[in-house]
Amino acid sequence: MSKHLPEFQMVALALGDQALASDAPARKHLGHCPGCAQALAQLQQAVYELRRDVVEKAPSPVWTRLHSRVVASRSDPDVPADSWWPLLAGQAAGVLLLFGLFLLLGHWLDGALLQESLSAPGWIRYPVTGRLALLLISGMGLLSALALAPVFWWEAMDPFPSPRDLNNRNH
Amino acid sequence: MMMKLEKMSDEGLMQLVSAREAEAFQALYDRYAGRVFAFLRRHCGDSGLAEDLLQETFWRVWLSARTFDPSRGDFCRWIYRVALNVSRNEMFRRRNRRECGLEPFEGESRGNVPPAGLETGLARALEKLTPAMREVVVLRCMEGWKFNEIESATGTSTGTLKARFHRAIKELRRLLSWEENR
Ligand SMILES: [Zn+2]
Repeated sequence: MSKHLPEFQMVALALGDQALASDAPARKHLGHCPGCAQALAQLQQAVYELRRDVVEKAPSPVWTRLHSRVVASRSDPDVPADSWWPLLAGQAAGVLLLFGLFLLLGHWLDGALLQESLSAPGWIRYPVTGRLALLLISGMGLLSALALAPVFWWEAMDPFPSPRDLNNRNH
Repeated sequence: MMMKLEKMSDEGLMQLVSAREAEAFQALYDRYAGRVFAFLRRHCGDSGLAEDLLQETFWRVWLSARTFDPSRGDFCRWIYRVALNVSRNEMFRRRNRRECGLEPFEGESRGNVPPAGLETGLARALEKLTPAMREVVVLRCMEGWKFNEIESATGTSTGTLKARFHRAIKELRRLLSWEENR
């Protein structure tokens, strides 16, 4: 008797893979090997059960709830349901705020510099380290705001939110 | 109006939905809700949860109708991908909440009954698979997706999916006590 059919072939046969279904040696083996024939019958039964009744009646309260959401979203003309601009505007406002803070603190430091410069040489250290730290913090803030923008946008708008990310989290 | 919509193609209806036509949306819902509900029930293994997920799926269809591009695939595949993502997101959220002790463990959740039409033994066995295994079995066996289609929807490589699928089949064999007489 020839070798038993490998599992992948059994599954493909059960799923109705045409190329493998017409494979003559496999057919012949199944005709002679009761073990493989039984295993295939079980797999075919499982596939049949899984495919049976793939349509069920959706519970009626779902449409009722959905319909009221749809009606509510249509009666709100200011924010179209699929609008992306509020998110983008929020991000832009965040960036502007950070930039404003940067200017304000720079201005304040300039004031401090004027006073500090009276008692040199302290002013040399103060503005350099201070400004460097400020630049670093503001830069990081700006970058993270910009980096987060597409994430929020994507999550909110796309019906397929980053499957790869989801995989990394799920498995 | 409704009679005319019933005969319209999915893509035609989606055009109307993106123009905020609620009647076209209802026609699409009537056409797909049953299938998507059955899919969600098997995917998440919980009837009560599947109800919420069905609502969320169609809500996203309503919100994202304009992002649907018929040149990239038919509506049927698109809505299944939306449903798949909704269900995966929810399962991820629930797992996190469980880990924080905020939600009951599987089997204690509401409406956790085997999907109608499935032999109880198989339904129970499916429930015992890991969510990742159940997903690939449901998509491959029940919905007839090819592995490359599952790859593009889930981001998991075909190789991993095939290995997972065969582990799932082995596990189902064991759970259903199918003797290996070969
Ligand atoms: Zn054999």
